[in-house]
Amino acid sequence: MNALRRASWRLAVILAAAAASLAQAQRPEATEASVEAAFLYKFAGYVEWSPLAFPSDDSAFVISVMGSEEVAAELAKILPGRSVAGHPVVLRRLRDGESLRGTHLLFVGRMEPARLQAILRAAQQQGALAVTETDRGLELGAAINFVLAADRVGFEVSLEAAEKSGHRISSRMLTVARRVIPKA
Amino acid sequence: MLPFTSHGAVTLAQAPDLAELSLEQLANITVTSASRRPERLIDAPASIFVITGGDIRRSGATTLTEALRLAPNLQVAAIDNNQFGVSARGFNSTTANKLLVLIDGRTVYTPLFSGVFWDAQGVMLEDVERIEVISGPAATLWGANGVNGVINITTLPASRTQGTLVTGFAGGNERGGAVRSGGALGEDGHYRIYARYIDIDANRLASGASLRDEALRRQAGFRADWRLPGDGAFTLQGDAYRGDGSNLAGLRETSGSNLLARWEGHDGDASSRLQAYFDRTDRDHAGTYGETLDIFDLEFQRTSPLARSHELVWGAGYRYGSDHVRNTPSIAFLPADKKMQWGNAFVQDQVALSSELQLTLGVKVETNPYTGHEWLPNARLSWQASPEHLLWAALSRAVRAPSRIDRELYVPGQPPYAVIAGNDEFESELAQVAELGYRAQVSQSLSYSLTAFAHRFPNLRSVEAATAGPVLANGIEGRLHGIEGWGTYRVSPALRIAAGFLAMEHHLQVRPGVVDLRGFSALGNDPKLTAFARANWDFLPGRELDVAVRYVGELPDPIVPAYAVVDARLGWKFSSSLEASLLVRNLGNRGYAQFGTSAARAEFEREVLLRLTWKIW
Repeated sequence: MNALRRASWRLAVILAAAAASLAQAQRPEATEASVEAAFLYKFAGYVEWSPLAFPSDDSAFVISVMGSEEVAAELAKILPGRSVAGHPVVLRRLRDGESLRGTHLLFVGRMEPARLQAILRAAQQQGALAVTETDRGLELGAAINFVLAADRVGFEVSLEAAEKSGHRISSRMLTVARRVIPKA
Repeated sequence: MLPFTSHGAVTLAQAPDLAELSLEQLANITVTSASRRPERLIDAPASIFVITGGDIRRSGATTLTEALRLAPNLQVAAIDNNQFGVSARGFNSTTANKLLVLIDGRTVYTPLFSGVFWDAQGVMLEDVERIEVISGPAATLWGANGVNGVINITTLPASRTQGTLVTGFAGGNERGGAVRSGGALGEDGHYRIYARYIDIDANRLASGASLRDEALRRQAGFRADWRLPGDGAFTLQGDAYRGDGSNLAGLRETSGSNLLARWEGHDGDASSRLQAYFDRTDRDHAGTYGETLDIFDLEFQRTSPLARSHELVWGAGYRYGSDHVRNTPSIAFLPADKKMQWGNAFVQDQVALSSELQLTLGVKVETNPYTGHEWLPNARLSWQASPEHLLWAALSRAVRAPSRIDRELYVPGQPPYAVIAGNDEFESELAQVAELGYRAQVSQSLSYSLTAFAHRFPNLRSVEAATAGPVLANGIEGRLHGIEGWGTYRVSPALRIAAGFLAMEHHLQVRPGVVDLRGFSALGNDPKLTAFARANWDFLPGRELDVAVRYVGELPDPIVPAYAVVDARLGWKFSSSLEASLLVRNLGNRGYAQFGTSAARAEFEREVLLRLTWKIW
């Protein structure tokens, strides 16, 4: 037992020393929803929004959220006082069936694929850039889809879908994307 | 019972504003799995290991007990296909009785012997979000019986299991499959339904003869979740199952069903939770005994920040059990029918002494049908020198209240009771536990945890002579100490390695003046060392190679030789909807036993399993 105890303590000391020497800068954890919300806000700055999307210089930039109160709640925390390309940012919580008119960036939570597909089609027609968090989000018509892998939130991009909604995603954003579907 | 993470320390307010980070930085943030809980594992002042759904998938596990082998702080041993010993910090046996096990908030240990019938605990593994395994006492917040540890199994909310999943596997020794389908329930709700089965062939004894331990288990269930106004949630879920197992003694039939409703609500910074469930289990061991048990359980819990530096959690629970045992000439529980009630109330305050130092004080009072009430106090101090390093210490008093087996078991089932004669004086088994732990998230790629522990048991179960015959009594005292640790290193985005170990030793002795008739082996059979290492490698996009090695030291009484087993898995993702994998268990093909006597334990051999999983949208 003494040998076991000695070995245990030795191991503990070695590991502790290793930890101390390797310690790096602070990297906090967060929830999936809070990271997605931050991404959504950042995305706005990496998209060339169609000039048609803003009726006037002082019209708002509208981020709409459907089917995810978690992400809406996180956006509500970070959006106040922020702007996108000089436009004040406004958050809208939408229910299924409500009009997407005026929406620039739409986030849709996890839901039935058929329902999701219908919403994504409507978004494209209304010129809203749609973001999802579903297994086959891009295939269903989203321009950006969040994927959770190894406890990290990443995203994939469909240039085809983005183009259909009338906006251009910057190449800088594509370098961070985990997967990119090119234009048709 | 409360998920451990819900009383962690760090809130997002202390984290830097995520919106100020770059896309690259955001993509590198580790998130707690899909919940609003902002706390981090590293902040919990306890020895806690988390098995994720992804870990289970890559282990190739087909049963819950196999998935539990992923936790280094658990000992999991199979005698055969139907009998398992699962324990934390020792005293492992098929009747291990110091563990609290929860499946989506439902306590599954039986009041018959305070242990778990693992052959009846089926879970749709594809829908498991996480399994939290806490070694050491955690009864204050979690519930009764968490003397040596807690296993908390949480399945994904229905919104995360939409569409249809079909999975099937087949190998030399077993085959099975599962189907799950999920959809929406109006604007704010989701549901899923599932059905699964597994069919396992008999193993062989070391002699080569069949152990006749075939198993066939079928289970179906559902879960529905609704979002309520004001960030509340309501969940309704249930399962029904039937299993036919056997061993050399004959057929063992199990069946059961349960229904659980849970409401969660938030007002300001406070949150409340109300949960109720009904659980029926039915079991027949041919020629030995049968049991029908109905449990009704109700509990309430509230978490509220008191002042700036206090977080208060309090709650209460009530549990009612109606147990009917079908006695046989070989064993009897007397009285055969018993109605039982348990109650509990607890309060815990988490005080931030400074920005780095946190004190958690908690106490729970429990009532049980046998000893009246028991107090379970616990104090934890954690020092978070930096966000990446946590040093913690804990002192706890844990109690294992008597169960029916301790007081009402008679062997044989009719007089004279020459083997066990019941004893209405059996007391609660106590444990005084000191723990010291260190946990570090050194970087995004390296994290580890180390815990040293010492348990003192003043009155463990013994067998002593009395006028009516031998009785179960509290005549053994002992100490347990050891160290457990694990770590994960992400070598590259495609390669992750993990390793862990548990080294411990107990010293037991008969209390002065006591003559123990049965010996210490009745309390459990534990190795001094267990260890594991595994690697998960995505060697090409959509191609996975997973290798796991686990070592279990020799068990002393009865002797089970030490073994090291290698499992390997190769996975292919053909598309986002179709996936196949090939699993080889016990690659070295040396037959090995895990638990029990050589006359009645399986020699596990190499097995190859092919699995196909199809997600239909």
